[in-house]
Amino acid sequence: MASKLAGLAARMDQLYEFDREPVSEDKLQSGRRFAGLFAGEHVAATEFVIGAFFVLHGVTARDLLLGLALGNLLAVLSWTFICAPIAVRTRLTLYWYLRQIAGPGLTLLYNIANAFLYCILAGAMISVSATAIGLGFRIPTPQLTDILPASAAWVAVALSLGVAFTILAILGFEKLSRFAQIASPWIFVVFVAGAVAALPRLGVAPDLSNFWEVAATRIWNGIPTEGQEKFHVGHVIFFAWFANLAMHVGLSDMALFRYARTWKYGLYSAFGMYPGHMLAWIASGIMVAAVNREMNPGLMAYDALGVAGVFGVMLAGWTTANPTLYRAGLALQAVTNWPRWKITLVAGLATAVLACFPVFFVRLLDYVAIYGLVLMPVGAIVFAEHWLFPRLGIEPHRAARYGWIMNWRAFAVWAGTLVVCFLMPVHLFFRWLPGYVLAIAAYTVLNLPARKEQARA
Amino acid sequence: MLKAFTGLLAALSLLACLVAPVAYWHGALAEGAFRSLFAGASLGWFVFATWFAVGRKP
Repeated sequence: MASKLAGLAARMDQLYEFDREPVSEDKLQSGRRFAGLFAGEHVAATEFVIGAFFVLHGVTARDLLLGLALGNLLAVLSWTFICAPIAVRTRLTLYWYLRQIAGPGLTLLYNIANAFLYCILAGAMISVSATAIGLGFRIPTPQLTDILPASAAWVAVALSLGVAFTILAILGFEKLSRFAQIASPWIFVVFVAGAVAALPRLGVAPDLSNFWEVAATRIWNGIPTEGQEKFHVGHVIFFAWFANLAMHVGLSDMALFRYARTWKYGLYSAFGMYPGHMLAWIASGIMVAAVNREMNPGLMAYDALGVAGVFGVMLAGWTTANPTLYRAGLALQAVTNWPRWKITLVAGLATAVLACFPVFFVRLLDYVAIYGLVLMPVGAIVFAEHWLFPRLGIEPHRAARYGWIMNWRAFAVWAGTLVVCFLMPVHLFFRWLPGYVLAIAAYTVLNLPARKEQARA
Repeated sequence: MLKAFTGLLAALSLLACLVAPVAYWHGALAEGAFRSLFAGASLGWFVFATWFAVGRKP
């Protein structure tokens, strides 16, 4: 078992070999580049659904604005004070830093979990694009309570799109990434333009004199759609905060910030959170209100912008599913040792099948919460090793020093935190924060004996 | 020089994408004209931005 795990880990190391060494001084990037990266990465197909769901969950206009302003601020601060400082001090990716802390076995498990979660996320993006195609063929969009596919036509569209996206990802991932860079400013404009075009339909006067009245009575009126849970300001704050939990608190954006000149570059994430998340979610809320709260991104965009809007939804799904498929393939490649095209094909086909199940699309907010929650304990473990262990005199990076395949304490904390979070009697959105504190405390306490062993040595 | 020109055209196309819905909202454009302008400006963005990114004639 141990030798098999070591073999898998060695193959995984080869895949990530190119970023094994800390980033050198001459490779550091300017702040402008970080601003551009964040602005481009945080307007995805899923934004069409997230902002619309706030309307359907009966968020009031005041709660929405306050929640988004505060939640996105907390996300920016998490990047700035949690992720960026560790990345700048180590100049390593999370992969290599976690390997030193938790061993290659746990890093492998992290990769597999990540790949699986990426596939589901890409599936949700394909579902969003499928609503655009389905519109042209009059295929009914899944209902908000649907778990299984409701019609053969929906399955056919989702599968076809998934297969098409997969083939394109295999044929030219890098070219598609360059195309995505060109598309991302336009996709952002689709959100803004779509919202503006929907305003006259909602009765907003051109001088904006009645905007607040319309916003509070016809868009975010505080009344949840039937079957949807009522959300308050706390839900919005926490959602905006944890929407990218795996990236900031979970530390996967160390890969990005290891190129930063200073930890203060974490503040550039505001370019993704405010013009990106905040504005896009407000825009999709306006668009869904203009179509009588019908959760159908294709219809929302078509109603606002015509055929170009439908194209925008398609493109948003495609350009964001593409890197997600790539990352899933990369994460799985070590386990199978297959060539990239083959593993991307398998990951893509699995994603296409997942896209047929509307549950990931109609329960997207819950899925985003679970995605962050599952990977959060890893960030807590790294945080404890990096900041607390040196202060408490605990020997850090013991997996690397003693050649452990798996740091069992780290594994126990990861699994234990998830079990505790699962059992917590609070709303899913609020579980990650106590879970994070618990994981840091538990991992530190479990490693306190190492301080005594070190003192004896 | 040509590259800068295509960059300018790309930026103008994106600006037109934003101006079109505002003009529609203010009643300066009919719905059909607004949608056509938005679609045309979008096409312009993709053509000129790609041209700008590649840095040579397509």
